[in-house]
Amino acid sequence: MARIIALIKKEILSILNSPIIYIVTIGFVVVNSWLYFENFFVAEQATLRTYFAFFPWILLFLIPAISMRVWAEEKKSGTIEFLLTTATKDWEAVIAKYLSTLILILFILICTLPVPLSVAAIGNVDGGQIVTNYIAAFLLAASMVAIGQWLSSLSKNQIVSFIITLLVLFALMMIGLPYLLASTKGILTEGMRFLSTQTHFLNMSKGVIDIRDVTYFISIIVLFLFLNVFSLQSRHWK
Amino acid sequence: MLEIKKLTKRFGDFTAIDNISFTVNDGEVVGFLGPNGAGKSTTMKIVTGYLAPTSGTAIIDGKDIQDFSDETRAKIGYLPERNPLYDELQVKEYLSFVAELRGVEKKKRSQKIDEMIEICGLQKMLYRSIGDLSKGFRQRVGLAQSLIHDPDIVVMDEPTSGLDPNQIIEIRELIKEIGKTKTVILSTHILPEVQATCNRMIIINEGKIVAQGTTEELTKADKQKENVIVSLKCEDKETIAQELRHLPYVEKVEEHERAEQGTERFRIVGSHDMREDIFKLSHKHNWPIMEMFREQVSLEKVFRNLTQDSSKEPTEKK
Repeated sequence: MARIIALIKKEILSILNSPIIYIVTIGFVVVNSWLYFENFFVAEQATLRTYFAFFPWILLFLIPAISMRVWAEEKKSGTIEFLLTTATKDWEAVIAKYLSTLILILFILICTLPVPLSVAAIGNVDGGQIVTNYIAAFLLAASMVAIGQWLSSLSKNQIVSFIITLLVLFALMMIGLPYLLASTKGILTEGMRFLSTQTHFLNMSKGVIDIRDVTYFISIIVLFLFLNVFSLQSRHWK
Repeated sequence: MLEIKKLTKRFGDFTAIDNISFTVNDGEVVGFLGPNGAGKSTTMKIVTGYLAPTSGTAIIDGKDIQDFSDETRAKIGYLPERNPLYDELQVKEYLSFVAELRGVEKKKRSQKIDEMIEICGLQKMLYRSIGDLSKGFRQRVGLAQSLIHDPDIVVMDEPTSGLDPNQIIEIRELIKEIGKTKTVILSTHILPEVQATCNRMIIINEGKIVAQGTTEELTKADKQKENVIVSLKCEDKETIAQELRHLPYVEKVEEHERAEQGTERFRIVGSHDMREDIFKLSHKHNWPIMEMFREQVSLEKVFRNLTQDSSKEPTEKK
């Protein structure tokens, strides 16, 4: 536990010392607000539905930009050799890195709060819906990070890991789009619907926390963190 | 104490290290020599627990590195090849992080960090980003990192690579200092480095140990014979040679190249140390001695012989 805390502190420090986090946070807030307010005054409605609908699309670019460096950078610079030859266990390193990124995501999501809060101030907005939307956004981001972190462990090259993560996350969203589901049949449709992050995010953003959606996200997280530990350990038998 | 037992590592078809065994005792500095790609780094990666061996193992203070990986890793300080550091951290941030990660007690942490800063001469660099440091300072940060938890064993992979001559000397002094209290194993392909810092060396080539011993043991050309080179100031070459041949123990006297003007130079082969007798002889005949030394085969030559022709039998195996 002490090692995990030490690692999280270091990760956060590293992130704060590099410009990427500021760019990403500002990017997220600005793009999201702009997309939302573009229609806000036209529609003249104090609804936040469209605001949260943009989240998955922005996360699609944001998450790979954060997760690409997690292992690729350690591998490229060789610091992974230092890290894993201290008494740190592989799973401790994986968990510590994952939690550090989650703290970051939490920080970014908090930065997006002013918009819903100000809309709530001028109109009649369901507070519960804001909360469930944030929970949905957080779970979605957390599972995307788990996938991105695993993909980052497969390459030394941050750009490669960015692009592959982007493609995988994009595919996971696309297979849940209604027009794609409409063009397939039977079990394939069901499978695609079930596997897509979009299905579960949209379910939750309606304002209902369904245990099936939560289970989906948590399973994704556990699976990919496990794969991450596995890919670190594969150095021993490669 | 570090014992390597029949260690083998294969990457696919390629055998990086092939059944090597050796021991490094407490308080010893051992140099691990070999051409690039000989298997030095691979051995170190296995000892430090980064890679698992294909077969064989290493024992650290009686504990097998495979069965007690966490425990043995905690006892090792490791300076990996190319000295990887977290460039975006400041020196002090980095050292605090390593101290914490390495489990240095909270009470002792700041004292330990100050100690490392002192030993490695980092006082002026505390608040600089590691990425902005010169290579020499980076190396010191790497050393500080590898020593901060007071390890029993220090493993250093090419600790002086890329440094300028002044920095190399400083780092070597540091290593010698460390070696007084700890078990140190360092790899290099710079031969003077081994002579300057190590008690003993192990030469490895194509994954196999080809020789080990002290510098003296390895550089003595022929264990039974003494070779003395002497230059004497004298006109008459033949007389000197004649007289030298009559000295006790002398077996062969031959002219040696590159004599100074007015002096004659000889290479004398004998079965015993003949320098005193040579001195007495020259004194008797009043031939001033311009130079006299025991000939040693240079370490470079030993190294070349051992590592260039792998079909050759190892010259010295203990």
